[in-house]
Amino acid sequence: MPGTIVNNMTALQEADATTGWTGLTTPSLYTAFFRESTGCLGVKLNAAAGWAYAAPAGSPLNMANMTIHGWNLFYVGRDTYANGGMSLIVGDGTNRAGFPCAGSDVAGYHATPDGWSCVILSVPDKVDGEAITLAGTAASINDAAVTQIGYYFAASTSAVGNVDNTFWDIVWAYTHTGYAVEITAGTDVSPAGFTDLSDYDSSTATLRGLGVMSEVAAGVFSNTAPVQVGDDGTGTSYFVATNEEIIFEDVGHLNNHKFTVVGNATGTNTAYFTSFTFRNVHSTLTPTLNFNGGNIDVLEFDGCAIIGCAVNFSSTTDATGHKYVNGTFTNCGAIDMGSIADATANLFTSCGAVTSQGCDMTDSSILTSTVAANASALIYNETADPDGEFDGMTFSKGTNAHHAIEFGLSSPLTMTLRNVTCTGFNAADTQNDSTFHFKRTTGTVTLNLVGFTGNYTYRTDGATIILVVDPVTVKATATLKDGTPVASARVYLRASDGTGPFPFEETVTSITRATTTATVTHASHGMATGDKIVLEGITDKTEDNYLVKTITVTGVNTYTYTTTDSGSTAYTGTIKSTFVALFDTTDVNGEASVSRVYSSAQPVTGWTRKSSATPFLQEGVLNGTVSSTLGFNGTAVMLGDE
Amino acid sequence: MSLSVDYSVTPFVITIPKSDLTLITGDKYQMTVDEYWYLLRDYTDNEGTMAQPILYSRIPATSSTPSITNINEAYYVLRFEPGLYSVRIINGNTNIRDVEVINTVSVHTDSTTGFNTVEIAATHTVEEIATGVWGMTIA
Repeated sequence: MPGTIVNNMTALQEADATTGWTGLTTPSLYTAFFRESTGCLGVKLNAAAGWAYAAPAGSPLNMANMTIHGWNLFYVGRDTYANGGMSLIVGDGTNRAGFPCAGSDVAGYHATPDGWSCVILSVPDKVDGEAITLAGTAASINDAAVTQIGYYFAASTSAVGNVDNTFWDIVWAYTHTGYAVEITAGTDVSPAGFTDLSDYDSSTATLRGLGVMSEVAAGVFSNTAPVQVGDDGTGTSYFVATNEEIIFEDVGHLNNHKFTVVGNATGTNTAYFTSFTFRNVHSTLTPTLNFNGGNIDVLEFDGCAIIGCAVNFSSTTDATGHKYVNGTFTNCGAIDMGSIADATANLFTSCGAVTSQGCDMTDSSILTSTVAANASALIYNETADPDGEFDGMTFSKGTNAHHAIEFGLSSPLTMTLRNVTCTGFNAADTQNDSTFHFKRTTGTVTLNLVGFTGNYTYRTDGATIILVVDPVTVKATATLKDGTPVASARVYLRASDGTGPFPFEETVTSITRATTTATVTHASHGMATGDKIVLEGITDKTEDNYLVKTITVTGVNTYTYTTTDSGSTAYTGTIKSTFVALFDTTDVNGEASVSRVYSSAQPVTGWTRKSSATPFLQEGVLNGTVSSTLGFNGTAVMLGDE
Repeated sequence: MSLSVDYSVTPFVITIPKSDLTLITGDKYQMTVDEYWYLLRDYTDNEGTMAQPILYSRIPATSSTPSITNINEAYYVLRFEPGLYSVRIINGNTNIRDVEVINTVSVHTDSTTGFNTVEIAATHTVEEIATGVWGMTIA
């Protein structure tokens, strides 16, 4: 057994002797067969009910936050669940009742080849209305001071022969806040796995038979209690699960079903899941899968499926570089991808909001999200441009009127999405189901959409939104003669003739000014909000000449820009407007760039300058053409001017 | 006040303020060519002038020639802040006289293309003088 099993459960009664057991009839001890250790207890039921109980270890025991596992073996017809066919007894000395767990119509768990099955009862979730009251009032049982635990049985058929026909064995309990069992240790050559636990659990040795996990088919594990994988202490662990499946069973009253992978700060903790399925078959409750437990060093999922579970990858202490690739998430509620760095080629179907903390979700799909109206299938609230992280993603709208992607308050002002497909979202802006939702309340956000399919619509919480569809990049690089990048150089690149799609020294009809807003009437200017221009030829408010201005388009023939609240309100002169393709300052790599759509080739000219701080440099020249498909990538070599 | 350019007229008019000049005595001021160059250089890459044609070109000094700073004559002319004073441009060559807008300021230049002003002491040898003037040694 390469893995080590840490059993956190408490044996309340081993049922290896009749001592301490009280029942409707006195039980007998059987040692020829048993579920655990050396023996079990049995009674005869003849188309009637019977029960037996004993004091639990540690009595009076606070079970307000515990779940009980027990084992039954029947050689008589069981009655229905409603009639208490297989029930567990909880009592406080004054009040005592059996609470149905299984019956002829509801199976128990972890059935063994010789007929034993496990019944499970979460003490705080027991249903008083279902109880078979044996003393006092079921609803009055003090869960915090339990003095009696045991079994209640109801047989629907008569006994055959004068022999006992109903048997029981060990009673376990675990606390909800922790894990029933931990699987630790393992190495890369001999990793821990789920079979370690199923083998441990299926054993009949002393203090085995936990009723936590059994292998119900080759590689298929039935699970009924919280399990932790890894090492939350100081040790190293190595866990592998390949071509297997874990089924989180429909445990009637269980509200704490969870599976967790953990690590620690000192050991190296590794977990690999390949072609593995996490499947919840619970009718109403959702198990939680926690893949965020403190310092998991390596966590990789490839080709895995998670069905009907809550998933949490969010962690601030895990190592980076975790993977969940080529997998699926189905009916999983909200998912925070947290420490997952590589989340490529996954399919999210009918899940809640998926939150990316900067992971690569290339070629993933988020289909029929279950998020509420005006919420978003994918949430992105990181400071970096997600360009490259969402390439090739597909979104389809679910039942509610929701958005595909939400860009949060921390998201950057310029972002790019490539080859994203969105289906079913509203064709109009400002709707609950417009494709994008921008949470910023101020400023201007530019979203470049390259190869986008669908309605590129948005809702904004206040920021000005510019959607640029299929842009190309205009980039200028400033270098010294030897190729050294020049940072902090100003770059100016403008239209150089009238053959391109944008204005080159086009005479405008008029410019009027109201306070700080100048309105330019410029026939068929062809520009968009956020574009830049330079004006020349103004003879009264001359300060606006040759200043690069960012425009806000107000119509096909008009745009505005911000100026000073002084001087002329109706500009004079033969005023000409020229499109500025790039006006920026170079970064540490000597580069400045901007993205924009160009419907045809645009000749440009310009320069780089750096002359007001050391190193002082002469002007570098830029010339060329912005291709509508390839953009522009020019280099200006700058000589010293010291 | 610092150097300014009036872009509302053609050609554009560069104005050098009196405050940027060095007072020698009375109404006599001077400015080295390098000081002149610095004024122009600092003006060329700010946000408001970045879209304008370059103001000047410069050729650094060599051992045998002084530095040259020339205004871009295609676009600009130059004047000094009006007033009754004189300005002497020293230690280099410029094309100020070619682009100057004549006003009440008396401008003198020491343009000596191909020659350097060399301090010669009575004790200097012929070889030292040759080195100082031509940057070469007499064999």
